[in-house]
Amino acid sequence: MSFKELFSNEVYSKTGLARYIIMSGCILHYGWALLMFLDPRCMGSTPISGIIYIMGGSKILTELMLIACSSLALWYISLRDGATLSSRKYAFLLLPQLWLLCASAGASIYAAYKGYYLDAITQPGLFIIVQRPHAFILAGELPVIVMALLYLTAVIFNSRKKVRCGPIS
Amino acid sequence: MWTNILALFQSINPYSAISFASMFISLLAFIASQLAARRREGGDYIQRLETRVETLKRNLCDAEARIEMQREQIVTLNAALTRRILDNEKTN
Repeated sequence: MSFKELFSNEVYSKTGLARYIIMSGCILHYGWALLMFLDPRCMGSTPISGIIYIMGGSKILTELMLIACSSLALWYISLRDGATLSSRKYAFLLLPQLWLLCASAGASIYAAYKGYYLDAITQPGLFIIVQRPHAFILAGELPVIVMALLYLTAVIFNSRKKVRCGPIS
Repeated sequence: MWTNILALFQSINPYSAISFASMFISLLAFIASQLAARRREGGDYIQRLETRVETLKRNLCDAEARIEMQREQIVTLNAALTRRILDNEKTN
């Protein structure tokens, strides 16, 4: 199978890849929300810090947002196979989680670019900035970046199966 | 000029830039998904039209075959009617 065929509509629809990608994103966000609830110190980690900044530094709001976005995406997964959605509903269910994943990936890329973990910034004065090799940080943050990229492709390619548009003019 | 631009970029809060960039990427993903959906719908519409054309062609062939059969029947009946008329004239 060629690279182009891998992303063809037939293969993508048959294997149902999007479902598993979205599910893994949901598990990731539920896991982060649970960890934040159990131990707030994890808020300093690089991927989560991007989301916390967007939420204005509020722990409760971040947890609620993570749970809400994952629940919307799970609602999308729970739809039956042949169901089609309007564009607005499709965007409402999937784009919030994509936004959070992109924020986490952006924070990870920034940390790799700077060469130090971002908890030194989120808690200034408490931690010392320790310069690490860029590849060191990138290797650790790569799963989050890959997750965001996969989710992005899932949102784009799965719309071919799921979104019903208006009449073709 | 380039140093000013660089200074401007460096003065931006990186987290703000990340949040705006992630919103922008989400918006682009939505637009791309809409384009992909419309392209698929356009392809489906063309496929439906082609199927409809094939069905109409088949119906046309069937109708032509029926017309030909009925024409032959008309010819046969006409011949039989002509013979009957001639026979009646002979007996009369």
